[in-house]
Amino acid sequence: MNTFTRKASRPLVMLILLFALVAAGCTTRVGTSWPVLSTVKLYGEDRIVVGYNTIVAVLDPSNGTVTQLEDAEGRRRTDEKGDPRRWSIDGGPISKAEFFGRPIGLTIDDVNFLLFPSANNRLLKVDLEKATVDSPEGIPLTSPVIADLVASDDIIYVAQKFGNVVALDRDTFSELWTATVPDGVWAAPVISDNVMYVAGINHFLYAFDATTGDSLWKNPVDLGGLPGASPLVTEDAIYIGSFSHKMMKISKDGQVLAEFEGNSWFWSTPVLSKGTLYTTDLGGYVYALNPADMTPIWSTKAASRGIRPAPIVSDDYVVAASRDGSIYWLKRETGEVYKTYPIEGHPEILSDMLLLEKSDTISEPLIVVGTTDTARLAVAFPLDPDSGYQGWIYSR
Amino acid sequence: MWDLILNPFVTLLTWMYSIFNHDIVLSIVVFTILVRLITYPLFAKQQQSSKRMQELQPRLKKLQEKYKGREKEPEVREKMVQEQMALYREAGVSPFTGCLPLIIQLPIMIALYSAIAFALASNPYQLVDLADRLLIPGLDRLIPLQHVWLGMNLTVAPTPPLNPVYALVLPVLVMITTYFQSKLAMPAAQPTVEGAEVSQTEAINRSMTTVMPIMLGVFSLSFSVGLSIYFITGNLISILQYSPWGKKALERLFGGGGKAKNAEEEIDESGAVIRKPAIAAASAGGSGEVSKKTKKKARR
Repeated sequence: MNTFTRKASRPLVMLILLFALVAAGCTTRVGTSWPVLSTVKLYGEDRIVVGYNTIVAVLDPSNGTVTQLEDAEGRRRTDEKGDPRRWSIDGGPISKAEFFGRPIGLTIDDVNFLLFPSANNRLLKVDLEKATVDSPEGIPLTSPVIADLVASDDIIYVAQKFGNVVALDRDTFSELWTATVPDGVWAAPVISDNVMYVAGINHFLYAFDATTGDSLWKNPVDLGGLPGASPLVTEDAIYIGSFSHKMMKISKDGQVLAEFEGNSWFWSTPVLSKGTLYTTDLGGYVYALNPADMTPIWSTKAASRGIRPAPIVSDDYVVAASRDGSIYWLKRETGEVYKTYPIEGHPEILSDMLLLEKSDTISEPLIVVGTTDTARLAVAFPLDPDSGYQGWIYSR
Repeated sequence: MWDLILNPFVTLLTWMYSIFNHDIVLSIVVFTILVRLITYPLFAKQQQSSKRMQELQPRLKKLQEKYKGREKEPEVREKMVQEQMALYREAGVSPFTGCLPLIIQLPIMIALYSAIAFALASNPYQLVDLADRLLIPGLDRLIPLQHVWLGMNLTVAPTPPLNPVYALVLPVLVMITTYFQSKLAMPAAQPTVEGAEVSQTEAINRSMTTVMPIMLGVFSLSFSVGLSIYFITGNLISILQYSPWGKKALERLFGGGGKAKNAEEEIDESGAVIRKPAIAAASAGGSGEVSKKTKKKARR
């Protein structure tokens, strides 16, 4: 080792350290999310909306291709070169928008829009038929929004990342009232019987009058941990899980009725089907619970990594998608893993799944999962694991 | 494998947050100090090795001078290497192990940094990784950690509108503290017979002292405020470690570290290694004074 090399090695090591720190910083996934999937009716047919970071695309559910735009007469729209125009927008260059939550559909003056919540403090209105952003400024807000938008006939409910739920007039977008939820809301509110249930990241569940925004409970319910997903609201109770490893049953007047302790964080909305409550946790478990007293019917460690999305329950199976990149079909009665379908490359699956019922365009019910791999951003499988249908992959 | 280091760090930081009354900034500061104290013996060893190598430079130069022009002859080359190794042995250093403590410290520092980034998760996608990392049951009930400090959101960049304008003082502080830290960390200039090579090295060192703070300052504009606090704390600790007062205090605490426990060494004008008793060395101002003295002597 000569003098120069030896002396120069120190700054080089410091540079390596600096770049290692930068690389480590990049791995903390600043400013990104998992894809969000929803459905929309376009040109008379059900379509899939995929939002990921700054991009939104509308897909044909039969084959996963990006929908071609049509004019009022049903003719294909083309660009200057004569190529067909497809339903895809990049909110980044237009208004620095980032899409973490599901949009809602709106019709204003006979024009159909998708209203997207964005992480850059605004709602973005997109003309559904033309796939154009109505106004880059959008509807300004005081906080980023990462939860899904929720709407009633008259009101749009916007859960803000840094706190409070803002109610906007559905026609004018003017603010009607604000429901105070300190610290932040990451999960969409649930509206049921004119009551808005909101889970705050401050570990509390709140209930408000959905028309006036008045608080309905004397005290919010302490969930013991961060609720990452919206509650399930049934006729007689509310079911909600949190990072405290607990899935709680709460009465409509805000009393904890029963709870179940799982193995890890609950980050999905439970599903009630045929008298059984199904849920998943970040320990890779799938649970079937008795909704009356929250006692377990069965619990199965299905996946090697966490299960973030809510399960989909069919007549015979409970379907769960894991961060390990696989889809699991568990027998509904026993919880036994019946089939596992690994996605190539094992990309993380974190988005809530979509269930598409059989229709004119799809020959059998499909499950669509969103992954964090842009080469497999959305992947479709048959709900029936034995159908033999190969599904499709949407790649960005 | 990486999780073996990272998960205990994330757990420790979150646990500190629970005992420091949910004060995340205090937790980051104490956590950084603690990790630096634990890794101090490695730091001291690296510093000592670096200093000895530097002090050996005049003798190595002389050796190169001695064989100048004949290095390509295999026999001469072998002899030169043997004499070099003898010098290293005599000074108690190895050219290959000097960087070892730094290499060991590297994953610890990256884990420290990553632990802060993970604990300050600001959106669901960042937070989902935290589920498997908290090793003490019950700590997950603290999530999300309080992320507002002095009106600044610690989870996002210091730039407006994400944070108030005054948050921009943090990247500036990162730059200033990195500058002083780099300045103190850079080895002192060594006198040589042949100036060209060393001036090139010194030029690199000098440019690093300028480039590093600017780079880190620019990065801090896009990193979260919490990480800027970590950088500033880390730099202030390094400044203390490099300062003569800090060195003395740490040596008292850790017993000096490495070979210099009982004796300090100087290189005289001829390049010979002189061992000094520890008491005498301490009265001469500690290890920081030794290199200054050597430098002055050499200048004369």
